[in-house]
Parts: sequence; structure tokens; C-alpha cells
Amino acid sequence: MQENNILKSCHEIALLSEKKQYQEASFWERLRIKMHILYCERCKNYEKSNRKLSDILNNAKLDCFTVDEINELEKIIK
Amino acid sequence: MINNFVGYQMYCNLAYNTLKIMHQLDPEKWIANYSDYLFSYTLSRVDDREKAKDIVSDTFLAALNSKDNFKGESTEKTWLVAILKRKIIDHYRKINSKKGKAEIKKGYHASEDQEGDWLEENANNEDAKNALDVIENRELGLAIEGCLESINPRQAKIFRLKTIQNMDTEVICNKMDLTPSNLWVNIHRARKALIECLGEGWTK
Repeated sequence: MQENNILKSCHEIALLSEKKQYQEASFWERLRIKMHILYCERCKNYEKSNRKLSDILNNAKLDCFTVDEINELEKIIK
Repeated sequence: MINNFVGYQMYCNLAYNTLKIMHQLDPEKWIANYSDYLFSYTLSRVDDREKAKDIVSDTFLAALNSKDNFKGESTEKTWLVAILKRKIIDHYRKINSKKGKAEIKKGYHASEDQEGDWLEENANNEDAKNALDVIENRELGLAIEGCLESINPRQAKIFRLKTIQNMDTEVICNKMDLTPSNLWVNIHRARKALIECLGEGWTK
């Protein structure tokens, strides 16, 4: 579904859900998510997928070059 | 009949050569476009971050040196991955020296001193049980990296800074010239695209 067609409140809940995944949502923000997903099936599903994605990201061996390493690599190649 | 067949073959060859897409190399963009994927690919095969870094930089250097040999029949990424695979094989050839073999033998003989069945003893080994998880998680890491390549580069960059490098929101906002709410919008779009890209197999 296009983002434009999603209710504004759902869009806000999605952003709060992202903050929650990084432990940056406040108590009231977490409560707001809980209240909203009581009646919104779409946000409930998204919150569930988002939590699952966080688990996956924690389990996966993710690593990438830091900014300094990228600069170092660029110097080596030039 | 034969003439028709030969004519048809010639027509097919001509059409194939006309339609064949010749890929071009753009070394200036290699680091921005492929370094993270190549790094993840290497890490999934070489369990040493520093070694992985060296192998990726060796790959870029080797690619630069042999860029004139690039025929354009494969994509830039495929070509770089092929070089990387060679570099990983070279790495294992190097470490599989006499010294390396001796270390493996030493470990094997140590287990001979133990009483009982080797297989049974090793079946209960926690490290062996976790090995499959490790392999699966590395493959997952590679799948995530593949998905990140297909999404908006700016969103992918912000996602990497926040999720992989665990940078503070404020630092990323300053670095990328964003407001906090813009940052979360970008993170949301990246995560949503990732959920879609990884598909039901991983996220349900």
C-alpha cells in the first residue's frame, strides 16, 4: 500500500515503532503504540514484523566499513 | 530448408550481438557501491574482520590492475565478486601452510587421548551445534546486505549508521544534515523496504 494512503496516525505509530526498536521511545510513546495496535490490525502486523526484523538484525553478523575505514580504503586505491 | 536454417541461425546471432548489453566499469564508484557487500561477503567466509578488510582492499587493487581485461559481459558486481572469490581462496591457500596443518593435527591427536567415541563426544559439543547457526546468520547478513543495495542509497546509509554502527541519533542528524523526525522517516522507509525484500521466509 502506498504511504500516502496510510492514515496519519498509523504513519506516526510506524515512526514510534522504529524508535522503539532502537530503545529510543519514551514510556508514553510505547504506551501510545500499545493503545493504537489494540484496534489497528495493520499497525499490529507492522509492529510484529518490525520486532522480528530487529531480532534478525541482532542475530545476523552485520558489519560494515566505518567512515574512517572507507577513507583509508579510498587512499589505498587512489 | 538448410539455407533457411543457416539464415535463421545467422539472424539469431546478429540479434544476440545487437541486444547484448555491454557493461562498463566505473572504478570511482566501486567503494560507494560495492564495499559493504564485498565486506559482508568476505566476513561470511573469513572469520576475521582485519583479514576481511585486507582482502577487500586487495580485491579493489587487483580489479584496478586488470580493468583492461574486463570484457563487459558480466555486471561490474559479478566481476568484482569473482575477483574477491579468488582472493579468499588465496587467503586460505596461504594459511593452509605446514604450520597450519600441524596445528590441526595437534588438536586431532588431543581428542584421541579421550576415552569413548569421538563422534558421540563431538555431537554434544556446543561449538559444533552453534556452527550451523553461525553459517545461517552469516548468510542472513549477506541477504540483508543484498537488500540494502536495492533500496535508496541515502536511506541505506542512514540505516547502516544507526543499526550496524550503532551511532547516536544526534550524531547521525549532524552528519547527514537531518532533523530527528526526518531520520526516523528514513529509518522507517529502509526497514519497511528490508521487511519486503527479505520476504515472508525471514520475517514471519
